[in-house]
Amino acid sequence: MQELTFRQIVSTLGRSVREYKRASIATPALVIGEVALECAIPYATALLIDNIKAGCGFDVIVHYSIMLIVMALASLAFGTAAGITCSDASCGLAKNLRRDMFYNIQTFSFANIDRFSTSSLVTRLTTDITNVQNAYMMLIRMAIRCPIMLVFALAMSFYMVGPLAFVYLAIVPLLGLGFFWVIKTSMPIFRRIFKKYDALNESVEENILGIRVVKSYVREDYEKEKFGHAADEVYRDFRGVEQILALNTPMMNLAVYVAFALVMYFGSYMIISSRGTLIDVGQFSAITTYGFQILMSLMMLSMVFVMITMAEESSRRICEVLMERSDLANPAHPLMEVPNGSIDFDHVSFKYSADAQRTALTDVDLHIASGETIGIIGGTGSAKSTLVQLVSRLYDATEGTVRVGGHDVRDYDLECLRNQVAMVLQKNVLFSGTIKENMRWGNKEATDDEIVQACRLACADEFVSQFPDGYDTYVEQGGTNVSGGQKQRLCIARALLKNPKVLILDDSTSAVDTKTDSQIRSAMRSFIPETTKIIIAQRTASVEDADRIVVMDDGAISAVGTHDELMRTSDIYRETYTSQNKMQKGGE
Amino acid sequence: MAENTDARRQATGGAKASGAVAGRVIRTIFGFYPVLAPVVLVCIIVSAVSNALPAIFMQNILQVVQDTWEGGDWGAAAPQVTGLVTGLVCIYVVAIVASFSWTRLMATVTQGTLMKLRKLMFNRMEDLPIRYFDTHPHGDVMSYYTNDVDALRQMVSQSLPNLLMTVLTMATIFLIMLYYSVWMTLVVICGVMRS
Ligand SMILES: Nc1ncnc2c1ncn2[C@@H]1O[C@H](COP(=O)(O)OP(=O)(O)OP(=O)(O)O)[C@@H](O)[C@H]1O
Ligand SMILES: [Mg+2]
Repeated sequence: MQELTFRQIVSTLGRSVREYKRASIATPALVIGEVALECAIPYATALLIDNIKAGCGFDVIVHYSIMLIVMALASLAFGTAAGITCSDASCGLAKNLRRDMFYNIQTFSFANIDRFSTSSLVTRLTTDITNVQNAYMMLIRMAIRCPIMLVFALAMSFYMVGPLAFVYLAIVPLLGLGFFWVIKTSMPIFRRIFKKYDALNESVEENILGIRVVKSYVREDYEKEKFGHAADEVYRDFRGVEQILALNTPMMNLAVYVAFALVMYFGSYMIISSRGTLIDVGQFSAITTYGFQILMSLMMLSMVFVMITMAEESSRRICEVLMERSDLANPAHPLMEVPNGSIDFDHVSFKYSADAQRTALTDVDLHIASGETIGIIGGTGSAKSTLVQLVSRLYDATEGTVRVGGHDVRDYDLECLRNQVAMVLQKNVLFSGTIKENMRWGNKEATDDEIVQACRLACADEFVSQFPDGYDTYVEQGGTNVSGGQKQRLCIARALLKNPKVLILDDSTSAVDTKTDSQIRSAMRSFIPETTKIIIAQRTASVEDADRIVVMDDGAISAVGTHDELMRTSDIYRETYTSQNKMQKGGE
Repeated sequence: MAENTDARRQATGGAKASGAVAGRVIRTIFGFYPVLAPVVLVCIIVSAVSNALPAIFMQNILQVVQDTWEGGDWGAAAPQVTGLVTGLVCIYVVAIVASFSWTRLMATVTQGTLMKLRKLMFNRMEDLPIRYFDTHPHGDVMSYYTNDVDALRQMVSQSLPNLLMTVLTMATIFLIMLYYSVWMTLVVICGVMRS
């Protein structure tokens, strides 16, 4: 991923402000009102004191007091309103960013997701957005307030005491340098940190999803240690960076205090030695008040800097997600109709990423007629799944073309293609919801009868109807409350509901007993004869009756033929067959 | 962990419960860092007091100036002014050392607390029965580690010390003001109420 420029980041994030633009503009406006009044109050107080000194009447005092109270109340009102619009704007921005990221992630291809990793996407959707939200809050409120206060206090200091105020002015560039150094040193650490943060969350995610495996292999202690390391790494870097950022406050204190001490000393000297002609006591007192205001604004400003430094890397990471375009874009004039279920691989080669060393598929040339049943057999890692993923365009071929119904898959509208090429993935998921709801992923408009019909074909009806709630049984997240074989059958039923032209079963009956397996296959043969069926299996028994069987070996096609042909010609096939049948006999 | 979740739910309920959570967080921090946390606390107190004290010195300097400016004799006023400014500088040095120490140590305390909490949470999670994972959506568990820990970071590193610092500074200034004049203090309090 190439480096995003600052402008790209700002304009990308800016697009997510949308309906919160009003609040985002109102906040600074309100803050300006608040600050203006706040600055006017000491001035009015000074006028009041002058008047009292000059011996004014009680009515003047009352007049000024009422004015002061009104100003104070108005300033309070502005401040409160700014607080409300500010949280409105920043929470709104966070909400929009989350939604935009989520929507964009939905369009991601498998390759896009591989590039980010899921746990990194989770961190970006949570921690990074929180950082940006906080920074935005600072930006539209504090970052407006502080400079105004600062400029005002400086201006007033000059107005009151003239050259002595240069002391204050001198500290500002010095501090600027200090802040700059802090940001410069902490930035690279922040870059690193977020990667480590991703690793931490990956460890958590892995353990939540794979808790069964962790437990059955008694790997808890190992995982604890691994997580401990990740947590230590994050701790070390975060502590380092926070220690650098912590320098902000003392640095600023130092600068302001030096200025104060100088002003105190030379101010006293100027007054006394000039007998009050250069500056008088009132002015002297005022300059200390403004000194405090300068101190406060700088303090706030340093906090703003810390927030923004932290948010900069987060915004970059958010923008990377927002700007990532799915590399499976639709063509300009997509085909909306898949004419038939024929599939052609024309000298297809494939790599999982552009800079990968290995080619996962090498020069595959395979032509499947519409309605044919094809079995695919091969050792693990021989690229069976990789091959079929190209048909429904989960990935794009690196070289050569994949055609469905005679047209290049890249010419179709993606949704239309995937509706016609139903795929039961090897790593299957059911979503939390009722069985019926899960089935309707296959076809939104499916009637109850159609659902039952599809489940019958997939031999799922027999157990679903046994559940107390039948088709309304709630499936837990990840389908933990149905068995492996049940899950596979439900996933097949879901794919059947699409009524597809091509049906791909990637090792989808591995957890189903052999009898049910053959039942499912014969049901498919008789009920959806026109659908092209591709069955990937580990057991030769699952593909024996296919029209043709493809034997894969290390990313290439090793042999193609019927069961009988392959028994004669393919060593791999024959060995697989005999070892499996021997095993069965031995087991009996 | 169930306890934690409950505390979290309650926290959204009312101010009283959220106070309880803050108390719990503070106890946890002191439990994790029995030495460092009190040191930070002392530094914060010193820092807050030394933030408020300079006002007295400035007041005194003003007083000296007020008393002597008409005479125009810098030589006579110089020792007094120099003495007061030196006192001021000393307090400033203390203030800077204190604020340098506590902000820096706080980095360790904040991040260390988070690290220890993460580990504690993870170790507990690994020991939970599988049923827990079946009944708690993964996203919920995941967000304990992301959103909730982030929120805690804010609380530990910013809200708590800032609150403490502000309260202490205010208390010190308040005492100083009372020392000078009870009536003026009341006036100022009314003035300050606006914000
Ligand atoms: N997302 C991925 N990114 C990078 N490499 C991958 C990815 N998925 C698979 N591979 C690699 O591609 C090769 C083929 O994998 P594939 O999943 O197609 O094998 P398979 O024949 O389906 O195996 P099995 O029978 O175990 O399902 C393997 O070497 C694997 O390491
Ligand atoms: Mg596979």
